[in-house]
Parts: sequence; C-alpha cells; structure tokens
Amino acid sequence: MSNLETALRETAARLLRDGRVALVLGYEAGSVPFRTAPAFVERAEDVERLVWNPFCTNNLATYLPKVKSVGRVAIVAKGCDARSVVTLIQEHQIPREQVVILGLCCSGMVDVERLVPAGGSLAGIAISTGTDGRLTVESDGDRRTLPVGEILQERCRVCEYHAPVIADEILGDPAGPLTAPVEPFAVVAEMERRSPAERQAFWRAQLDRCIRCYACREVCPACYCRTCFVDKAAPRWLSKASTVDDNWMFHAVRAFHLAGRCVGCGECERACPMDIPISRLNRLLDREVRGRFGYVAGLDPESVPPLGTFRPEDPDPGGHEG
Amino acid sequence: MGAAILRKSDVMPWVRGLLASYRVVAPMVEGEGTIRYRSLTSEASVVLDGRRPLRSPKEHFLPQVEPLLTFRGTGTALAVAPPAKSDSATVILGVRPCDARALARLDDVFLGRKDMDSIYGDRRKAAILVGLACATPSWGCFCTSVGGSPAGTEGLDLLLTDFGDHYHVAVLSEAGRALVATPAFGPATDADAALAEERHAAAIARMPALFDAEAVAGKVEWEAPVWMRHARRCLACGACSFLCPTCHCFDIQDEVTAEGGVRFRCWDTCQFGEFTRMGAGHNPRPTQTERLRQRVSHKFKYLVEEFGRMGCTGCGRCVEACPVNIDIRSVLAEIEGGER
Repeated sequence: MSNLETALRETAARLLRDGRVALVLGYEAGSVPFRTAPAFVERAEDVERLVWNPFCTNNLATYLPKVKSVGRVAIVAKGCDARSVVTLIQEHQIPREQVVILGLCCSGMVDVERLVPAGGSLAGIAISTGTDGRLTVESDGDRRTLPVGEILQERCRVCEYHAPVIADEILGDPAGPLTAPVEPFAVVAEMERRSPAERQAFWRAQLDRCIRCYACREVCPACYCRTCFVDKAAPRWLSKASTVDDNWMFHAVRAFHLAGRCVGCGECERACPMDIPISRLNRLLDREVRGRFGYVAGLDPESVPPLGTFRPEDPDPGGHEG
Repeated sequence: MGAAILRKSDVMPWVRGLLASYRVVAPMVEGEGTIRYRSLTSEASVVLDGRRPLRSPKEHFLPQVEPLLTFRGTGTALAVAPPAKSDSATVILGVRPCDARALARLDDVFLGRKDMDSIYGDRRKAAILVGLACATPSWGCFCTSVGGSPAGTEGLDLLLTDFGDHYHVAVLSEAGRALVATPAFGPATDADAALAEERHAAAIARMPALFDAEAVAGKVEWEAPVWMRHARRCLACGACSFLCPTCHCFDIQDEVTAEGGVRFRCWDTCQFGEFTRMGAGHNPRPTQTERLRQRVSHKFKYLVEEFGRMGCTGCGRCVEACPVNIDIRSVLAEIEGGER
C-alpha cells in the first residue's frame, strides 16, 4: 500500500510541476482513521497530503464537471471511478484530453462497520495498514488483525473491474491478488424470487425512510443534470412532501435515467444516511441493459450508450412485433 | 427528585400500561437493523439499548411534512380548515441526552420569540421524555465539547442508566414521577446512585472535549478561508441538516387541485441551492462556501447572539452522515484555533 502511495505522490508532483495539470483530485487523511476526504491538490509541494489506503471510498469523478473550469485535471481513479470517467467523456461532460486518469488497481474498500464486532463502536479506534493487505485495528483495549479482503464493502465483493479500464498512468498491478467476484446480480435474482406484492411491500418500507436529502444524487457522477427534475419549481414537477409515493417517483425516475449509464460504484447506497439499499434498482437495470443490448456501462469512451441512441435492430421491450 | 430501579423484564409490561393513557414513541428496529423512533405498534421491535437511532425524535415535534391548513372551493365559497390537533399525550422512550437538549434549543426558536409556533408548542407540552444515558459514544459524538454530557438531564423527565439486567431511573420532574408510580419500579439505594454516577463518569471520560465551544462563538467570521476549505468538497446534499436534531428551517408549499388543496410545511435546508434562490433567479448564497458558512454561523453564532445558547448538541449525526467527511468538529476546532 505504502509503495503505491509513494508512487501516487511522485506522479502527482510531476504532473503539477510540469504544468500538465492544474489540479489533482485525490484522497487525503480524513477526520477519523477509517475515513478519507476528497482532496484538491494544486501545488507540487502539497502532494504529501495525498493518501492511498482501503478507505478511499469516494468516487471522485463526481467532481470532474464541477472543477473542469480550472483547466486540465488529474483524477485518482479506482476501477469503478474510471468507468465513471468514461461515461462523463462519452456524454461530453469533460473532453478526454482535459483529464489525466491516475488509475489505481484497487483491491477493494473496507466496510467500516466490519472493523469492530457487531454492536461495537468506532469511537477512538486506531488503525494501521500493513503492506500485506491486513489492517491492525485497536478499539476498546482490543487488538485485532483483519485481512482487508474479508471486510470489504458489498459493492467491492461484486466488483468486476478492479483495474481501471482507462488510464493515463497505471499504479499497482492490474493482475494483483484479487478474489473472484461474487455474482453481481445475485441480489437482483433474490428480489425477483419475491412476489410482486412482497417486492412492493419491501420498497414501500424502504422508501418510507427516505428523507429526500438527495445524498444519493449528489454523490453520483452520472447525476450531473444542471437542474434535476425534482428541483423544477415553476411549476413543481415533484411534491416537496416526502411521502412514500413521491419518494418512489424520485428514485424510480433516477434509476431509469441511470439505465445503461450507472457503473455500479455504489456511492448512492454508501451515502444514504437512512440505510436504503437503493443501488439494487440500478443493478437490476444494469442487468437488463446487458441482456437486451449487450452493453456494459463505462468501458469504452468511443461507444454510445444504448439508451442515448437508436438502432433499428434494438429490442422492443414493449413487445410490439414487426 | 429521587430514583428507582426498573428490571429490563418489566420494561414491556410497563410500556403496555403506558399505552392505556399515552401514545408511546420508542426506538424500533426496521429491516436490516435500522433504528428509528416510531409510534409503538409492535412491541417486539423496541430496542432501548441499541445504537443511537438514525434520526432524533425531532420529527415527532417538527414532522418533515406537516399540513398547516386545507381548503376547498374557490372565491367566496372557499372553505379553510385547520389541521387536525396534534396534542395527544405522548411518552418518548430512549431519548439520548443530546437529543433532549436539542428539543430545548428548538423551544428557543419556536416558543422563545414573540410569536409562538402553536402546533410545535402543543406537541411539546404533551410530551414526556424518558432519557437513556449513553454508555458508549458513537464515532461522531461530541456532546461534551458543546456543553452537554452523555448523562445530561436537560429537557428530560426520567433518565435511565443501563445496569445490565436492570435500569437505574433518575426522576427529574413531576411528570416523570407520575410515570414511575407503578409496581414495575422498585426502590433505588444510595449504592445504586453511586454506581450510576460511576457509569456516567466513565462515559464522560471516554469523550474528552475537542474544542471550547464558548470560544468558537466569538471567532466565527464572515470572510474566512475556513469556509471554502471545507465547502470545496461539499456536494450540496442535505444529509447533515436532515439528520440534525436542531436544524429547523422549513419551506411552505401550496398544492392545489380543481377541488381544493393543502398548505403544508416541509423541512428545507440551507445546503440546497434552491433554498435561497429568488423568483427572478438571483441567489445570494451562490456556492457551497456561503451555504456552509450559513449552517455553521447559524448554529454557533446567530443562535448564541439571539438566545445565549448554541444550536448544536453534539449528537454527531452530521459527522457520520457526510459522504465527503466534512466533520463539523474539525471546522470548529480550526475556528477556535484561529486558523482562518
């Protein structure tokens, strides 16, 4: 880990010193040992702030459309984040030549809830990251060694693209020690085994909790609309009353808008302060798009997302034959 | 005002008795372990000792959405109806000390000015708060840095302290005394009181103060780099405000159909760009820098100037919810330290 961090800092310093980029988007130490914070580094002498560890969970691509006015930007990108960068390039949110992708081969990010035993508190925790993929965790006078691979976030356990599919500089070993991904659509299949009434009861109970803070939307790199439909105020498109039905409308429209565009980074679900497993909707639509169009989002900047174009041979989900 | 002992096995029989006279709100577990304060319907899911609920009980006094009036017809035939009364006597169980203090701060805002908010006031007058002292802080907690305590009693009628298979129950008001006047409660000894103090001291010892909140109020400035430094990564979601037990800003909306309509208020937040956007498009708080400054200044400067008390009780929910690790404790420590 520390070798990668050193290489990352050297690369960032070189890019800034040579004037190749005006800004490096990366991670810096957070306010607690199990969080990092997005970092905006503009001077070569500040690269020591940059860190790389199993807590670099944010998808920094979400900042690209916001910061692109500064000039060329370097972005530290994990496999999932790099796919988001691809979608932003495809959708003309940032020109390819304006972004320098520092691709980090990622072995997954830690689910912080799993750092302590069930019911334990993260308060006062101390963590040291070993070079062998293990964390040493001290909390409540207890010391444990945890292999990162065994305490990963769910989205990382199902990750298919640990190594960035697009990068200007690759850091780490693209063929590094990775566990085989768990079937990414197992959770969708599990939902489908439930009856429609059970599914509806499930989602109504989940979305009853939604407080419409829009953290899911704001962390999402694909949610870059200048004005989201829910913020249209004259006239208002969606009630500001956060009833289950209105919440459902927001999440359903958002999910449809992300079909064929969502790369499954899972930030929406991580950011949700109300513990709503919202990315299941996106995963269902990801599977549908793969099945109907043979298309996986965020792999090829030259390709056109299937729902952003029309081909005569496109399947017709409405079932209207010839 | 005295104390009592409540065996954990007697909690649900006691609560069942309360239901004869009160609406009971308690932390309840949902789905895969989410804990929220809900009106008691199924006693099986009450979890007094679980982790801090996702949201404070604020929503039972200031609901996220609340009708103010309904109307039918048009013109001279317009008939306006007030909202249903919301003053049924309510007992809220498992209130954390920070959240009880937060209600006292909301009282400043809704009841402490010339014009009082009667809907909020009716609910407050009808509520009895049964607190639970925190034994273990959550990672974002900082009550001791803002004048509170994991065993604080401000705003509470009873305070429970976990003694393993039973609770020590400190009686803090006449309303609290009435609640414990049932055979479910046994007498507490001086040794119990001493043990409760020991437990409270241990919890406090786990939470050294991180900054001097009194000093912060005098150092909050309008033009300071600290705002931009933290706001640069802010994504403008409302997680911090909507989980906050003291944030209280709301919007008022009319929704009208051909037959009539409803005027309701709903939570709003200074973190949304739309919050201050004017009808003609101008926005006096154009970026997250101004919006972050507003949220911090409102809590640690403006409310202090108006009421002598800050609008934060250190519950830590904003710290834990922020998806980009904007930690208000760091912001305040930097302000106190003179890092502009």
